[in-house]
Amino acid sequence: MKIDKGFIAGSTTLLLLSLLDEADKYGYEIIKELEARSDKTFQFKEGTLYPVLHKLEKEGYVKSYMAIGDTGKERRYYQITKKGQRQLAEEKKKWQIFSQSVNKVIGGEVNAFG
Amino acid sequence: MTRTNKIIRNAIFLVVLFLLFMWRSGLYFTPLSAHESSERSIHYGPSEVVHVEDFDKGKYILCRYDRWISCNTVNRALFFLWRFGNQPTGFEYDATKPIDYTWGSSYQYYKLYGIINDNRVEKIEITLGNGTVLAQTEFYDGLFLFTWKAEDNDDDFFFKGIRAFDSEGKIIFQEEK
Amino acid sequence: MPSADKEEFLREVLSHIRFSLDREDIRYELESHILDKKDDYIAEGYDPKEAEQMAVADMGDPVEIGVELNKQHNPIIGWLWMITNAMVVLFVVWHIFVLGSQLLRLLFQENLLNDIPKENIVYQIDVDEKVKIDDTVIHFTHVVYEKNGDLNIFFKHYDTRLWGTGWSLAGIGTIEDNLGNEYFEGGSYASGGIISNCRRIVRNFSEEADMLIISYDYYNRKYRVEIPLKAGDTHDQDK
Repeated sequence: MKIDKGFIAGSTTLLLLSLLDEADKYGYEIIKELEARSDKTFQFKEGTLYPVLHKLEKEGYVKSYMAIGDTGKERRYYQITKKGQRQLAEEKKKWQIFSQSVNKVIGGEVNAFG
Repeated sequence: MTRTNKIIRNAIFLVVLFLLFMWRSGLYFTPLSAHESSERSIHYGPSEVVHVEDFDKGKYILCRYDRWISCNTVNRALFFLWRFGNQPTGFEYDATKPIDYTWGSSYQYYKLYGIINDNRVEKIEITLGNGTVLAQTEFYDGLFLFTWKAEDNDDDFFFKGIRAFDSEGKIIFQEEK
Repeated sequence: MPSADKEEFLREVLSHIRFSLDREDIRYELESHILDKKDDYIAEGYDPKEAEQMAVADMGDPVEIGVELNKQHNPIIGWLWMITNAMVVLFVVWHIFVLGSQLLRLLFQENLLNDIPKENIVYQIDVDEKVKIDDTVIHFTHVVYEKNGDLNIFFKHYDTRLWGTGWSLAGIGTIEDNLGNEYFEGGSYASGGIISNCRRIVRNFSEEADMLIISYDYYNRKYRVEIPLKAGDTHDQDK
C-alpha cells in the first residue's frame, strides 16, 4: 500500500529523528531502513529526503559529518543532537495524542468514559 | 552548531578581536581618548582642553596644563577611529610678555598657538613667508590658535611675523622671524 | 517522465541552488545515493545502464528537489558565515604573529653589556634602582665605566599597561656627577619591545667622580637616582 505523500510529510520529522536516535545514518541507509521497517508502506521519492534532512540540520535537530560508510566509500552521516532528542520526545507525544484522537473518532467508542 | 549560531559566535569573537587589535595598534574610538592617552604616554598633562578644531587629517586640541600651553594633534585612522598625532607636549609661557606663542608644522599643516597675557589685545595677525596675512579675533579662555595649510611643494608658507592689536588698532606687541 | 541520466539529474538539481559554495557537497551526497541504489539494482540482476536509469527515476523530480534544497541553503547566511569565519581567522593569525614576535623578541633579547669588550672596562657597578613616571617603569641595572672615559648606563623600561602602545621614552633626565658636572654629549640605544633594553652612553665622564646623579624633572614628573661609583677601582692595574 502506498501512502499519500502529504500525509507522510507531516510526520517525516518524527520518523527521521526516531531512526537517527538509534544510530547515526546516511541518506541511503535511512531510505532502506524506512522501507524495511514499514514493510514497504513508506516509499517516497528518495531525493525528497534530502531537503528534509538539510532542514533538520539547519534547525539544529541533527548535525552531519563525513565518514567512511560500510561500502568503503565516504558518506555524509547525520547525527541527532540534544535539541533533536527533545524535539523527538515532543513529536512522539504529539503523535500519540493525534493517533489516539483519530482512533476515538473512527474507532466507534460510543462513550470515551464508558 | 547551526550556521546562524556560528555567525553570532563569530560576531562576538570579532568584537573582542577588534578591540584587541585597536589596543595593539594605538587606535581609539574618540579623538579625546587618543589625546589623553597621547599625553600620558609622553609624560605630560593631564591638560585642560580649551578648544578643539578640525582639519583635514584630524583635530587640533588646544590645551593648558599648569604653566604650559600645548596644541596636540590627533589624526583620523581607518575612517572612524583615532590615533596619536604629534606635538603633544607644551611650552612654558612667559607671563611677562603681552602675548607668548610657539608654532610647529607637520608636512604641509601648520599651527601657531599661544596665550594672551595683556587683555587689551583684541586682534592678532600673523604674516606668512609669501605675504599672506591671517587674522584671529576669537580667543579661547585667553589662548589663541592659527592653523593653515601650505599648497604642495610650496615652502613660502612658513611663519614670518606676528602682531597683536588693541581695540583701536594700536600695536601692543610684534615680532618678526 | 523519461528517465534522465545521472548527470542531467544532478545538473538540474544544482541549477536551483543559489549558494554556490554548497553545490559540491550536495552533488556528492545525491550522486552517492544514486550510485548506491544503482549497485543494489545491479546486485538484483539489472544491467548497469538500466540500473542507473532506475536509480535516477527513484530519486524523483530534480526541479522539486532543487527548489526545496535551495530553501535550506540561504546564500546570505552562507556568505555571512564564510566571511565572518575568514575575518576571525585573519584577526587571530595577526594577533598570533604580533604577540608571537613580541614574545620571541623578549625571550631572545641580547644582553647589551656584552657589547663592551671586557678589556675596556675600568669598573662595573650592578644597580637595582626602579622609578616610575605615569605608566612607565624604568629599571636601572648596570653602570659601566670604560677606559676611554665613556660611562654607560644600562636600564630597562616597560609599560604597566601591557598590550597597549605609546610614545617611546625620550630620555632619562639630566646626567650629573657629585662634583657639579653636567654631561650632554653621548648617545643612546633602545631595543624596543615589551621590555625595552637600553644603553645610555655619556662621554668624557669624570674619573674622580664617585656618584652618578640622574635627575628627571619635566612637566611635574620628578625623580632622582643617585648611584655610588667605585672611583679609583680599576680592573686593570695599568696605571
